[in-house]
Amino acid sequence: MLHTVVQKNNYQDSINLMLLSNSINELDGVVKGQVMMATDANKDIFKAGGLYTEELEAASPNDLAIVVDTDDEAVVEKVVEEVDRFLSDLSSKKESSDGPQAVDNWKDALDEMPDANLALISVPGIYAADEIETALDNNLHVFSFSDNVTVEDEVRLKAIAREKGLMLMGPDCGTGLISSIPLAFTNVINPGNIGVVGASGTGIQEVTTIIDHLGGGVVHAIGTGGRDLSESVDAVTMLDAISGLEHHEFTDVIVVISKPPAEAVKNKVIETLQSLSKPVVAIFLGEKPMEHIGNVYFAYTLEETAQIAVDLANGNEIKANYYEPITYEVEKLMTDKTVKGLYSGGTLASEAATLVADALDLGDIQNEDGYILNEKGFEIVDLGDDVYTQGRPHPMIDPDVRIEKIHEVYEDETTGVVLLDIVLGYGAHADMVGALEPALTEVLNKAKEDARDFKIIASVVGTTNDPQNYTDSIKRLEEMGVIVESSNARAIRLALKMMGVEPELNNKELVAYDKERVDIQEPSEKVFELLNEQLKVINIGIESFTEPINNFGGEVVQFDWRPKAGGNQKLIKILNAMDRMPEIDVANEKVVARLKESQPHLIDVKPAYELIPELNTDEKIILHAGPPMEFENVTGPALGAMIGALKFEGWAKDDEDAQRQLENGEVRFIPCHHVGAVGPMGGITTKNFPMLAIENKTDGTTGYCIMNEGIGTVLRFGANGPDVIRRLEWQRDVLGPVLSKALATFEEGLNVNSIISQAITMGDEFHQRNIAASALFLREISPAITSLTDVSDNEKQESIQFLADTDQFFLNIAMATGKAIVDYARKIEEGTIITTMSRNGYEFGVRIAGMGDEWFTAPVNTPKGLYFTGYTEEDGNPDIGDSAITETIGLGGVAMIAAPGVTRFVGSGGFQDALDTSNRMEKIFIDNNSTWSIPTWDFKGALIGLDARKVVETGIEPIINTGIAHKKAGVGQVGAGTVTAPVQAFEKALVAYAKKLGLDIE
Amino acid sequence: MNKPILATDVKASAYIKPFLEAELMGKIHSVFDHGLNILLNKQLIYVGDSFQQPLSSVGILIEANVFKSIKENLEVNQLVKITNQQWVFYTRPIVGFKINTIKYHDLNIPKLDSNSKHLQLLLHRLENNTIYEVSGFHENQRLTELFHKITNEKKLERADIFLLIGSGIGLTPSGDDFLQGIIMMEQALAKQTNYLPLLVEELENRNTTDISQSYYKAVLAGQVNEQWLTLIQAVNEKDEKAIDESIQRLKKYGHTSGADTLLGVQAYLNIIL
Repeated sequence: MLHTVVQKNNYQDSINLMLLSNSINELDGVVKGQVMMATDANKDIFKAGGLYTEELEAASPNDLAIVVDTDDEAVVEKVVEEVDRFLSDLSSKKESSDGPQAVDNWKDALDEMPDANLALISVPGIYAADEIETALDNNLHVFSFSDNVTVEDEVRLKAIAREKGLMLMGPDCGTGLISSIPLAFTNVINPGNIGVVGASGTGIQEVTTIIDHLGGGVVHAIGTGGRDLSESVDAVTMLDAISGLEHHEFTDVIVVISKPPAEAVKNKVIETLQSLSKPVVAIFLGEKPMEHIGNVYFAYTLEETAQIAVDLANGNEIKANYYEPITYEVEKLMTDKTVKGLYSGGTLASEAATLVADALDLGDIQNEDGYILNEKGFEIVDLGDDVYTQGRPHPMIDPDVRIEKIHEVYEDETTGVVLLDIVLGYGAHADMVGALEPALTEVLNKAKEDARDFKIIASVVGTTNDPQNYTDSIKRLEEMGVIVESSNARAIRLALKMMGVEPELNNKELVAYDKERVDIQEPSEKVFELLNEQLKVINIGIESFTEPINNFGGEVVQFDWRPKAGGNQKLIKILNAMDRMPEIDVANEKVVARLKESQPHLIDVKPAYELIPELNTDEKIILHAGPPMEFENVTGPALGAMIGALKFEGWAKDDEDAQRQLENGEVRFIPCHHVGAVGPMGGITTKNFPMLAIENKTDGTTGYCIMNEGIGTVLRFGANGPDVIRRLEWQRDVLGPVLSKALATFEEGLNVNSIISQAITMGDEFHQRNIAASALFLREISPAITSLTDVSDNEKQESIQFLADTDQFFLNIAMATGKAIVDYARKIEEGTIITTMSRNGYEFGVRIAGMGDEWFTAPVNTPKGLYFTGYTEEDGNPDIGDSAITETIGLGGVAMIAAPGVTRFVGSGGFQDALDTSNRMEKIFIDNNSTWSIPTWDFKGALIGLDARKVVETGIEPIINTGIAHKKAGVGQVGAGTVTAPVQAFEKALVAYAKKLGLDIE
Repeated sequence: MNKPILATDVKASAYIKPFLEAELMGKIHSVFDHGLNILLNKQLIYVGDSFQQPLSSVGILIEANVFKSIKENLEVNQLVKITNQQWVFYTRPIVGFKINTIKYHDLNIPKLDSNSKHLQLLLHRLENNTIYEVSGFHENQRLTELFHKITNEKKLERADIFLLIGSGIGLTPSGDDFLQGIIMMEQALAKQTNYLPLLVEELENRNTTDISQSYYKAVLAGQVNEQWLTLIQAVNEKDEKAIDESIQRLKKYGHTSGADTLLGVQAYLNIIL
């Protein structure tokens, strides 16, 4: 039976998850299981593995999906425990490491390392092209470990790179050295005067490690990606790299490694090589050269390539033949047996196939289904081929496929020799010899017991400076009975010797080159800098790639990458296109400037109809929170408040009458936001509600909001009993007029900025906690109230007492303030800054500056938090209210760090959670508002300028502190907590704005 | 990063001139606080970190700041490309120096006045300066016995040479330094004895360190460290004070290297006087 566990927004690196999948498959009771990010491609892998479920179908690319086939429920728990243990192990290692600074977006990466010169990209293939392009846009050379980039993208990106004077190494570039600093899957090679360019990862590894063994050294090894020498890509990277090495003062010899290129490309490359001032060694794997020509020494094997290179580097004469006999004494020939090559390195497999096919005359080598050669029982397999690596790690990391194959080829009685490569170095398995040992020992012992002619020959690709122990690896293999040769070529030749064939290399004479030569272009300034200056890397993806860079003198910033926009290709395209439009940043800065320069003042409290012309009518109009809504969708709290409002206005005689009028369409609804107002929770406002009036003194923009009624059984939460109505009447008849008169005593009204800037230092965030601001307001308004001559003492006392008792009184002032601020900023109809966030109980609506009055909505979330005794989350109504205006201007949940006391109340854990929340929110805002400086945040200003692009890109949903209303009409508040704004609303806004900008988004 | 190549004046032993002009790739053999050894086509080249150091028969001296910059990331086995214009050290990052001017110094062993009074004076000063106690022989029973045997019997036999080669601790074992002192004296005094051919033969039979091999090769070719030239000159001039100063400086050379060589000189004088 299949069990699915989806962990929302838990992005993990694919290599770690593959290793984790291996680990859970070893748990007792697990028939099979898989842990992967729920991308479409991975879902196909789940499907292929018979592990597809409905829950998986619903998961998003940012979700971690665990699917386990087991008959025992308890096993699922064990699996989840193992997943948590494994991942927390990784994160604790991460925390304890003295590794590089980690960031999670391009901006922070570039801020951290403004003079970076290389982006090392190892993200899943479908996202790689975009990240490569972003790196190139930021003037970085690119080393793309990522593969699965289309050839069209490769051609396009290499054209961009060349245009900008940058080098794109890859895609599918597995290995490299820049200034002798190892990159990705790489051995530690002694620095020296040899420069390598190769379209083959393990080819570079084999040649450079042999160079190291021979006492030579390598300064740069530049991988081009396997397709660079194809006709379509036209050797762009190889030619740029060759020009770079030609002009690199400290490179004396250039080595070129490739599979046979397209003919036209080969001619171009050869012409270039023949035109260099430095000697070249070239190997086109699969070709058997008969002579050296002009400036270029042609090699047949990777070993010979290294030998010639080292002789050239040492100024020695080149021998006509580098053939050295195999000294191993073959006791008994195995002419009736076959050779099976089980390779983790593709190029090493190709070399084996070439040498075996040439020696035994087996025809051309193939490359089908992982077999490089499959003739007459002679099989050379590339276990790194896609056939073997779909959904599992590369065999250089994971020994499992090879272990299976070792047993499998042993079962084939024709097998006489098994050839293996053991690739060491950064990125490779920490102890591949140890991992293979049980399988190797088992088959060798069996062969001994069966008195069978069976040998295993290995070569170890590594150096004594690799993190694994090179010498010990060889020793342990030999102790097992494995024959170890010093190179792949020698291992193959020994296998052939056992088959009774000892091919000799022909002598190669140096003949003159008599064809065209070309002018070698100077490398671009940037390529020259890359090869001559300090390597400074932004590592995007696999974190372990930072280790060799750090260890060998490079500088590196870790970019903990996760897919933009949850992996949604359309949105990624929009975001990338918008990133290339500086005018959006300019517009956003204009909007933010307005948000910051606002001067909100509380100037009056008046009946709604006096402030809002739409209400100054005999028509029954109800203002409500959130985006426009239909009555049939109204949720309990709003309905309760509507009934209360109808009773308060005297429009309905009782609840039933009110309900009937509402159902009959006798009442018209208008969103508060459409008439310059905001309303808490249901936001229900009718003509005689007293409203706080804020004026933004910058240009006179106003914002209105009804007054706070206290907490619990209040209209805004849907309560509508006689006490509620009585309180509203008192506010209308007493508190409103008293405050109006008191405010009139201030020349310009009350400066709200001043109160906020003080209260934010006193622990308020102005949504869940307003006690300091309410007290400060009371401090300002009380003398004015007491000074009034036309108000009775009783009314003064009642008013002051109410204000003193109502901790949240300032919330509604803050909301009206928010409205007066955003409506001033919204007058600039450009850019992606969010100007409204609001909820009507079933939809969350946002508006962005660039789209003016248009709403973009998504289903609203239900808050999480603490419930009053007797209530549970079951009772909670989905999120509702215009109060998210506070978060829109950077207060409320966004400013959680200002009110650490609130975090526990809303269900968070404490100060660190508050800090984490605000730090996370910082990633989706573009600026800080120095007017509202937060001491607990090291005096950083509150956030300002919520950018829809950032929300969509990061998937970080703005957090909103909120009260929780009962879902039934008439009950009122049942708790408080937090809720997030659904990213889908922001996505819709962004798509619409992209259309408006004329971007091609399909 | 490839650091900017610095420039330095160079003071070099004329003996190694052919190696320095041959455009060769060498390897870092060993690195010390104030110097390093490079193995260049089987010849060891010592690079000293300032002109205050005595010039080695197989060495060069460069400016201190240049040495410091090179040494920063230097590791044994790393490659060095030496040409007559510049030296490039293939480290991470690449470093090196261009040669402003290079002055070769002839470090041929000068003739020592064979007047026995001169030699007696030198022996006397050596005995007074307690060489043995600070030498590598002092703590080594086998070497101590050999030293006493040689001085008591007043002869150095082939078997003694065999035992001395490579004997003792350090990159230049004490026995080697001792023998080099003997060979130097034999050459300075124009062959009163004939140990050189014996040593050449025994070096074929017995191994020692790369560094000692190089110094043997140099002394067999009549080349010594600059300080020995000063000592021999002081002896020839019978300048007792200068002799003492010279001995003091030599005693401090290396860990016990200078003292071991002085002990060889002392033993040789014992044999011939």
